[in-house]
Amino acid sequence: MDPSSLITRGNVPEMWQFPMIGVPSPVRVPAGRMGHRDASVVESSVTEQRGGNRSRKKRRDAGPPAASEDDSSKLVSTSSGGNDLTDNEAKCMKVGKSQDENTDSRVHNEASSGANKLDDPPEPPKQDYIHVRARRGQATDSHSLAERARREKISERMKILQDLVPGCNKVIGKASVLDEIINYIQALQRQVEFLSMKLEAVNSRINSNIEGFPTKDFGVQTYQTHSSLAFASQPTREYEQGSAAEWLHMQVGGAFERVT
Amino acid sequence: MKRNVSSTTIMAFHFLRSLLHLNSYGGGGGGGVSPLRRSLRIRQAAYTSMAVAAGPRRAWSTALLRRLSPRRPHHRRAAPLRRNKIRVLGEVRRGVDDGDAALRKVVPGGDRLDCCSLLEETASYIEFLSMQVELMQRISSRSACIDLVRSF
Repeated sequence: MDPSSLITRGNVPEMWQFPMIGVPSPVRVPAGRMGHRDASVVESSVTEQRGGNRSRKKRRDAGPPAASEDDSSKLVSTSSGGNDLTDNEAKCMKVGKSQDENTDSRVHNEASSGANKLDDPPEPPKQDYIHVRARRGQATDSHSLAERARREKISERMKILQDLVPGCNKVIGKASVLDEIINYIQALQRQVEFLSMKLEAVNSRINSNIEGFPTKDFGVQTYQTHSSLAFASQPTREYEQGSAAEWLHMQVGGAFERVT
Repeated sequence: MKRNVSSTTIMAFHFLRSLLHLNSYGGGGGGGVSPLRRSLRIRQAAYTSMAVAAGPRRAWSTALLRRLSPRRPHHRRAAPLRRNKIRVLGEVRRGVDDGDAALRKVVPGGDRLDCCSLLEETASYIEFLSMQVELMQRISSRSACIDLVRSF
């Protein structure tokens, strides 16, 4: 149905009001826009005072986004799709027809639409607030807080472990990550075992070279003390901190020189 | 990073010292001790040097040293019953899954830790274990070089 065929002189203000009346608020705004656009085209040809005034006023309202509390806020807050626009146009037409029969209730409708307009703006912030509250809702219990902190701690350490273990970043899921970690540890332990066998094989051959090295005596002594849980025997640690690297180099290099 | 470097040197120092001790102890071209036993001792020395380098703050290092120390066998035997009970209770309370239980078996001393500190100890253990492996690889490659040179 063509809007221009429906619109008469008396009906044009009703067309303006219809989007505000029967339709729930988020849907109403594109209808208002649509009616506004349509009617501004039609209005320029058909009516002069009232529709023209309205369209100008609406344009002014839509210009600054948050200037007035009713129209512009609704225009900003809701999203308008093309389907909604056509649907609302059809609804608009139907309501317009029904409103044609009782023309005397126009003033009442205007008043009610005004009331609706006044009621509308507090609603969307309220919904927003409820949404946020639902998101934060479970954090108030102390047990759940502690549990959440513990879980965060665990996941943080799992991340550290994932960084430590090579090839563990691609694995998804806690259980498989733990499996990877266990496999890595076991591989390292096996490698220690293998290397100790290798060192034994090599060492037994170069045994005679290292024998007679001057550090043998204090090596025996400190080994005996360490076997009774002596981590922090202070003099040896200072010695280690000072010259352990040189000692290591000297030891291996000395053996090398002796061999050659 | 500094801590890593210093613990690396401590580890290397300790391990080489125990290697020397083992060589001198094996005595005169490996007479009395079988090669298998010697490699076992080298492995024990490796773990001990890891634990010594990690220091007494770590649960895994104390557990390793306690396990490897030859002086208190009865202590090692007496403890596990109590530890097992605690572990079972902890598992029931915290709902630990299978992967965690396996990790407890792998990490020394992990059977009486809760989940958080178990993961922390695991990270430290992996760090030191990889350091130890690297050290042993270096020593063995150098020794292999020496051996090679000697064979010429």
